[in-house]
Amino acid sequence: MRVLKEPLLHFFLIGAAIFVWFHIIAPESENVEDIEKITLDEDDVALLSARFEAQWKRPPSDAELKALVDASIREEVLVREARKLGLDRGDPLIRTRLSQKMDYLTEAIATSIVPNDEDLEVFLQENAERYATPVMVAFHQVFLGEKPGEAEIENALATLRAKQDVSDLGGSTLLPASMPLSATRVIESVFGGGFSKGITEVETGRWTGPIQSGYGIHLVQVVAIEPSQTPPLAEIHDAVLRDWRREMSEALAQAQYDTLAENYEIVAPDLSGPAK
Amino acid sequence: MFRKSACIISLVLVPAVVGADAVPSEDAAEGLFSDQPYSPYAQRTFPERPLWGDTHLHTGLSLDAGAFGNTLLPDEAWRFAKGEQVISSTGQPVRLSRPLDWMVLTDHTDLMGFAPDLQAGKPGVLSDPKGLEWYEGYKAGGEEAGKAAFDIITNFSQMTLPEILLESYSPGADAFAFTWESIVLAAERHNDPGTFTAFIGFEWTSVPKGFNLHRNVMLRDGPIRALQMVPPVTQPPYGDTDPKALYAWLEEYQEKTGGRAVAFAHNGNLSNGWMFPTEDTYHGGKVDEDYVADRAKWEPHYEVTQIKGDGEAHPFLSPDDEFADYENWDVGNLDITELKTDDMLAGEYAREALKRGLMLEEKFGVNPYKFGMGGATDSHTSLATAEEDNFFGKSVSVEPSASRIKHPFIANDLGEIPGDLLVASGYTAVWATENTRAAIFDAFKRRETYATTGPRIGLRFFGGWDFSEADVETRFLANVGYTKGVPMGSDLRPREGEAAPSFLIAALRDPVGANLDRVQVIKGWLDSEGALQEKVYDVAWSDNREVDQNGKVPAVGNTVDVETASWTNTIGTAELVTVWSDPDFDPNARAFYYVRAIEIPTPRWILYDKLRYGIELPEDAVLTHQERAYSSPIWYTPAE
Repeated sequence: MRVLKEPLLHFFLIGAAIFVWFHIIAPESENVEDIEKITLDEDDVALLSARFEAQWKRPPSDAELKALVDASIREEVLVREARKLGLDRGDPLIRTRLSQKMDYLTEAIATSIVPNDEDLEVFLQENAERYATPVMVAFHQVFLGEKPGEAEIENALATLRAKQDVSDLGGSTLLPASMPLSATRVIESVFGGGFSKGITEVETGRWTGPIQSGYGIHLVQVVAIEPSQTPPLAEIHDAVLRDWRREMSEALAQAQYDTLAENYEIVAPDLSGPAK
Repeated sequence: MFRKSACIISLVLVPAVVGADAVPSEDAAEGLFSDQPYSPYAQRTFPERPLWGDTHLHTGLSLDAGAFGNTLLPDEAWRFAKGEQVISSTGQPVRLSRPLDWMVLTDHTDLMGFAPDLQAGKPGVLSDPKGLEWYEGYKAGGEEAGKAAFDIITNFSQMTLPEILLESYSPGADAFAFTWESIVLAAERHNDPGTFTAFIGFEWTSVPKGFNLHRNVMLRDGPIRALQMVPPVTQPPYGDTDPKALYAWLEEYQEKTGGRAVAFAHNGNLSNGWMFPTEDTYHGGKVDEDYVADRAKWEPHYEVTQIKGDGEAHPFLSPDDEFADYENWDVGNLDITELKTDDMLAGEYAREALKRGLMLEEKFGVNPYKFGMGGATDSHTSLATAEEDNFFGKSVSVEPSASRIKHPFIANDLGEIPGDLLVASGYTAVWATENTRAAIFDAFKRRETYATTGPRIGLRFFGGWDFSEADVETRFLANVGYTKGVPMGSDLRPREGEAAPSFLIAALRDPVGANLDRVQVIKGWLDSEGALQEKVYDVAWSDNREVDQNGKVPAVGNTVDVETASWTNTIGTAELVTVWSDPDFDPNARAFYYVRAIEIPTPRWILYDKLRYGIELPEDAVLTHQERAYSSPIWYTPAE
């Protein structure tokens, strides 16, 4: 039953269940407001008492409890009257709180889904380049200056290939004479953009050039190239899970919103024209 | 010596490799530079390339950053520093030109975690009338939000924050502990030894009555140690603004966890003279044996350049230095509740502090201001941007927009810092052998760091007693430098012979940046009369310029086209290498030397704004500047 493994389906099933459940447990009085009657039962009082205790590290005295109950009733009366007057409408604070609660609900559902490794494997393959290790190159280089003549380049190359002493070759430079196995982005941050492209395509072990850097012309001997690869899921399981969760909860939040928004006909001016 | 031995070894080895062509790997590993062993990497005892980073960045977890609308949290800040594209809090896609190698994330500890709760309108925030007022301002957005944010910062710096909020977001409160935990764990998630180092850190935001005494703290450690403590704050009764309280915390941290930590100050320019005291401290203490010992122990580094002004030198203190007038902020203290007077400047700038350190060392035997140099962004956007053409501003309110340069950083009855004065600066380069917490932290401790105002200028600086002109010719500059001398941040070795100290200096322009104009050595010393002196020497420069009658190298010129915000590398040079010996050396005088490498003029960030938004700039706005790098000093102490 592959279809049941679809996270989106899980989401809608759980979501439906939760919304139904909220519908059931919502007190009747919230729907059909009985303004004549306000009931505080013993559970409500116990909750007030517990909250007080959490804050003050002791139970409330009788007088304090009475004050808490009175304040609670007062709040209920004022809230109901305020609603009748429509004071809750257009209040940015209340609107924000309500929309946040809806978001929390969605988030809670999204994080409750546990993907199996197959889901993660699919996700990993779909986003392989995100997890791929960079191409790594180790090399030696000789810098010949900004614009060496062709003869100079040829001579230097011949000298290097003949394995003669080269400590006098090239100018003095702060650039490292050799780089250990380094990611291409590191190489580019030292030698400038484009340099690593020049050296990933040459034969290993043989002096080659000229290769252009941000500074000028180089001769390069690549010692080793390690191609890019995507690690197996087991090695990067946590990172993949984290990304899967992030993307999934964003997708679910959007899907949830789209479903809800379908219940509305939305009329708004078209702003998609050219920017003013 | 070095060169000769290399040749001998190569003569011996060359016959051995003839005929080995069929086995490229062996051939390759043999290497042409036969001063190396079989494995070319085996003897890498010195750092090969500078590791670039930012020591100072805020996310939405910081009180002020969050209040200004920063919704990006540590994960986004780390991803951005590693070179990924992110969407800024104002909805703009942004990416660094090149990734950083490491970063310290330094959210403010005071009211840590309050800002996200404010943004979300959590009941704990709204139950306080001030909290509610700020929330409503924040939700209203635009100018109202800016006002609310500023009110929060004012209440913070004047210590009038509501008590209930303070209690809920200070050490001892759950929200505080969990925020710290989330910071620590985020750093751990992004720490990738060898590739990218994510330091656990924080900013201890001491700003009594608006005098900036801020310190950043970086830990060498991971979560196991970092989570044994929560970081210290400054607001009473939970903390104290006296740096002594921070030193006590650091002492306790090291003792309790076995870990290691350092602190470093920044923006002395906004302290109104209190950053580098010589007699009295702001908190009523004396600069005595204890003070100098503590400061020397805990603060081996100083953040010399960042968004809120460059703090190397000031023209009032260094009238003979034509480059001292660079991105200085000298109106007042941080919130301009007190204006600046000239007598305060000496307690504010790095060069003067280095000089004062010599004087205090003469007095106490310990130099409290013996620090290495670093640059940082201090961005409050979660985005560590320091490049002029990619500058995302100080806070979310001044992320790129057509109107941002019109927003003053601060303006009140006393004075103003207009928006165009924000500085797109800076980064810290570290000479470390590995990209790990341990290696980089240890480099900070030995001060092997340098600051730049944004460009990734390469800078080597070695001091010794027998560097010679021939050393300039070597392809293995670092070998020579480390062998014959000491690197930036160190003390010169004991004097040999009668000569003056000599220095091997090399600067390389940013691979994608502007050419170099010149390299200078800045010397400070304590003369025989007990007076502090300084002198700037031009030691290498481009374009074969002649020194003029005042002993100065004339200006390099300016290729910036203000209409297109572009320049050309037709002046200046890519690399400057020299050996310089001090012509005015006095063996009996304490001294320090540091290097300043200066680029040719390039556009300031506001020119890119002008070009991209088609806006008018203020008439007196500075359009071009010469970016620079500051090395850590090398110190000379006379023999007893």
